Parts: sequence; structure tokens; C-alpha cells
Amino acid sequence: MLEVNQLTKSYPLRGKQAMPVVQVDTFCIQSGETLAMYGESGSGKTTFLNLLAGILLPDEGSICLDGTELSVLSENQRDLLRARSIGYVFQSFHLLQGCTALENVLLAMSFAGNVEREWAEMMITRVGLKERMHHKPGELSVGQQQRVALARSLVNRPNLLLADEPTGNLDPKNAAEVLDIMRNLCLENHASLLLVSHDEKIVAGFERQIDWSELNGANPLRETE
Amino acid sequence: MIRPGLRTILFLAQKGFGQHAFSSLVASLTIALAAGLFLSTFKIKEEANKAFSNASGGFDAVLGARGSKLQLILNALFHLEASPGNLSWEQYETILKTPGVREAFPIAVGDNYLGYRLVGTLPNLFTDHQWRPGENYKVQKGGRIFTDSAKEALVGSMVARKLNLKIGDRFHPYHGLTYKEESKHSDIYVVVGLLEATGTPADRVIWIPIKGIQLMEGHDASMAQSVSAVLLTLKGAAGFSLDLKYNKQGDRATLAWPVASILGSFFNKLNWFEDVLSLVAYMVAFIGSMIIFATLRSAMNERIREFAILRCLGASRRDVTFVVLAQSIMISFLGALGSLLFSFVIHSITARLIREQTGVVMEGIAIDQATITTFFALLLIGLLSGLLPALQAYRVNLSENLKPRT
Repeated sequence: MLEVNQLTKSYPLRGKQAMPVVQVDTFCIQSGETLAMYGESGSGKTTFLNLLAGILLPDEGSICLDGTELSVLSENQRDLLRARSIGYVFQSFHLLQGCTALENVLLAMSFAGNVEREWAEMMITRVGLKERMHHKPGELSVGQQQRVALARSLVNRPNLLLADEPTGNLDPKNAAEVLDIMRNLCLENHASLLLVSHDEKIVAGFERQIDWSELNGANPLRETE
Repeated sequence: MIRPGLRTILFLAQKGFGQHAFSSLVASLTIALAAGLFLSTFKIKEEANKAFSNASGGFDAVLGARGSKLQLILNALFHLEASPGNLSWEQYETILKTPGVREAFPIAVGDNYLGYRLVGTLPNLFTDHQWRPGENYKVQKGGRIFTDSAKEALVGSMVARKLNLKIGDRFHPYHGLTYKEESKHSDIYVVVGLLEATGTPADRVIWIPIKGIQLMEGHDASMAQSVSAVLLTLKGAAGFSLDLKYNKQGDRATLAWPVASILGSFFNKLNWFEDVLSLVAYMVAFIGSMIIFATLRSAMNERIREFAILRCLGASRRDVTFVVLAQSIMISFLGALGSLLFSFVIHSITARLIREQTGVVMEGIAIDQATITTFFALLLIGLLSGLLPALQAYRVNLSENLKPRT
């Protein structure tokens, strides 16, 4: 489903040589697979996810999602692919504060070109916020906000869900609930899940676990020391 | 309900407008005031020129004492300003018999009733003269035109309404053109008729027999044989010969002819005023566009993260650019609508004031080419003001702006 080969990404440093941040020889995720990746903060995990999401372009190498090579797509094509095939959940939720929970979810659908209000409402109901769908993020608890973000990320039935420290801002009870919903929804929607976390307890719950420091040939933490 | 495409962009623009409602509305209001001022200045001058030119009461020329032609017209046809002096009755009879003169009606002024001017004239003005082609004066039901030698009055429609005068009412005239309580004449006049409205200055005067003014108690004896002016309608090219006779060769009287041209030159003299107001309007419009820019620019600092989120959800660069431009156009669109409303209010107030002061009725405001051009120019200003912030949205760096904030 997702195949990564010879992937490298560097960031330019002022007055110095470019600093390699990501250097992955091979990496793949099977369809419907859920896996967790752990590693230190600042070690390039988010950059790796941004590369997989088509937000960043690699310096070299290939990322192939369902047979489509991301680097050969135009920016607009990558935007559309991201809207339709990739869900992204962030540590700080990234909800639009001026929009209600339902509007946040509907917006994600509109960029994929397929607005189905009933389905959006169903997804919000599925994350346990049926009574709160017309509330704005400021009127929701952090746990509820992350559930809205989750509904938004899965509303377009993506093949791949990327979750970057999704429980980082949640208390243990909310973290467990959100994680549970996320895994169940991925299962229901046949979506693959790649979750990134530095929390060992979170990672321990996954069958397949990846140590980012082993996968990544570059070590930006060592470079910046 | 959100739909892909334009509706999503408009939805997001409207959300952005709502999040910065106060500054957005201030920007809209500034544009509305500027464009409203510009539009109303332009239109009022145009409409007033047209209305005054059409309100000459069907006369081609005015003969009066030596002096300003404009003052003569304002005094004799619009019942404004003081009379520049008098003509003798013989001068009236001479012009009446002059070949090329179709009609000649003498008028005499010098008295008022509660601030409304009394104008003395001959009764046949109301039977023979057409104040507009095909339109004679009409007296309201139950009334009649005054007789030449009686102390009777025919009241213009606006005066009748303002002073609530009815047929059979009696009043004492007051000396002078402005009302002073102590200058009451002892004569008593009876209202014998009320004129139908004409939308001309005739509506705001009280018409009495010319002998009434000439022989009013307390007037100088010399007034008995004088007139303030003679209102003329002319045949063919008689205006040229009369202009030569009175204005170029003579030195005892002034012929104000042609009326429309003299009024036109008067309005042209007001161009400087229009220029000043236009300059002010341009400056306010510039400030308005700067406010739009500043509003969007400051909002961008907050919205840049929002645009990064939208991009991450799959919005294209074009989408987020259009959101900013749509918000900018939204502000200017509201401003443009406000400007129409504002110019309508100014126009209505001005038209009312002009009618009250002169009796001249201005036409209602109409959506014409100038209005449409101004409207779209405002949208263009909005578009231009939003270009830089839109470019900023276009260039938003996703990975930088999606980092968690500490």
C-alpha cells in the first residue's frame, strides 16, 4: 500500500552544509495495517510524516502510495491525493476555531470534492460527539477536540491515517479513549494507521512497532549537538 | 451547507470576515462613506442642473433692471435672492409689443406672508401660459384665479400645505422678502384658489394681482408704475435681437437669455466645489483600501496557521488565495452597497432641501452608468487591497505553520 525507498530529506543550515533529517532506505505499510513508530522529539519523525503526506518533497528517493509515486505529481495533484487518500491527526488538533465541529469535518470533505452531510454527522456521532457537532472547538474539551480531528481525518475514507503524537496533549483516560476510537475506525474503514509517539505505553499497544532511530539513517539530534 | 468549490471559498471568506467583524465593518463603512460622498456629489450636481433647467416655468428669458443675469433669473423665476431693481411699466409695454415676443408677464415682488414670497402678476399667466409644453396651471377644485383688481390670492401648492391655507382664509402681507413681525401691512388678502403642484418654484409663492404689490399700503408711490421683471416667451430667433438691443446696445435693462445656458454656466462655476469633494472622496477611498489591506494583513498573522491547516486538508494554494481575495471583495462589496445607500440618503436629503428652498423637484436617484462603474471600481479596489495578503496566503509554509505551538 505504501512503499518508501531511498528517501532522504535535508534542511539547509545557515552558513553550514545542509543537515540530513530523514534517510530511510526502505519502509512499507500493508493495507489495513496499524503500526506505531517511536523516537525522540526532534529526531525527524514529523518530517517523515510530512513527506509521506506529500506536504514536503524529498530530496531523493520515492514514496509510492497505492501505486502512485508522489514525487511525480504536481502540487495540486498531491493536494487532492492528500484530501482523498491520507488522513492526518496532529498533537495540537489543528481545528479551525471559527468553525463548528461539523463544519470542520465538512470542510475536509469539500476539499476531497465529495460532501455528504449525513456521513459527516455519522462520523461525528461515531466519535461520541453527536450532541456537540454544532459547537466550536473553544467550547469543547481537549479530548473532544481531538475526537473531532479524528472524525475529520477519516471522513474521506482515506487509505492511510498518519497520527503525529495524537495523544500528546491528552490525559491518560482521554488518550486511551481516543486511541481506541482511532484504531477501531481504521479497522472499520480498512485504513492503514501509522502512529508516531515518544510515549512507550502508547506504542506498546501496537503489534508492529518501529524504532525511528533504527529506521532513520540520519540523526539530526546528533548533528545539532 | 458547505459545497466544494466556490461555496467553500465563500464560506471560509465569510468566516474570516466574521472573525474580524469590527475592523472589516470599519473598512466597509469607510469605503461606503467615500464612495457615497463621491456618487452623491456627482449626481446631485447633475440632477440639480437638470432640475433647475427644467424648472424655468416655460419661460425663455427674463427682462429686468440692469445687473446680473443670474440674479435676475434667480429672483424672477426661482423666487430667490433680492430683486436687482425695477423696470417701468412703459418698459413692460414696450417689450410686450416687440415683434418676436410671444408672451410677456410682468411680476412685482417685495412682500411676503410668513416668509413665503408674494408675487404680483397678471391673471392671464395662469390661463394662457404653459409652464411645461402642453401644461397650463390648474387650480384645485373649488378655487379660482384672482381677479386683476381685487385683494385676492392664488396660493402655490407647497405654501398651502406648509401654512395650511384654505380657500376663504384671510391674511395680512408683511413688507420685505423675509418675514418680520413688525412689518405687517394693513391690507387683507383672501385666498380664492390653490394651485395644483407643478414641481416648479411656482409652488412656493403666493400669487396676487400685480396691482396689489404696486399699491400695497406703505409702499413707495414710485412702485405704483414699476415692475420687478418681465417673464418672456419668444418666437424664433428673437432672443438674439433682444440680446443685442438690451444687453449690447442698451444700458437701462438686462435681458437674461437663454435661461438654461445662464443656469448651466452657474452650475459650471460650482465645479471647483465638486473637484474638492471628489478629491476628499478619493482620499477617503484610498484610506478605505488601506484599512482593507491593514485588516487583512493583521488577520493574516492569525490566519496563516488556519491556511496551513486547510492546505493540509487538501486545499490548494489557489483555494487559500481565493479565500483572502473573496474576503477582501466581501468587504468592498459591503462598502459598495453602503455607498449606494449613503448616496441615496444624501440625495434624498438634498432633494428635500432644494424643494423646500426653491420649489424645484429633483428626480429620484437612478442606477446609471456612473453608479455601476463606481460599484465595480470599488470591487476592484477591494481586489487590489487583498492582493498582498492573498500572496502571503499563497506562499504559506505548511510544515512550519503546522508545528505545535508552545
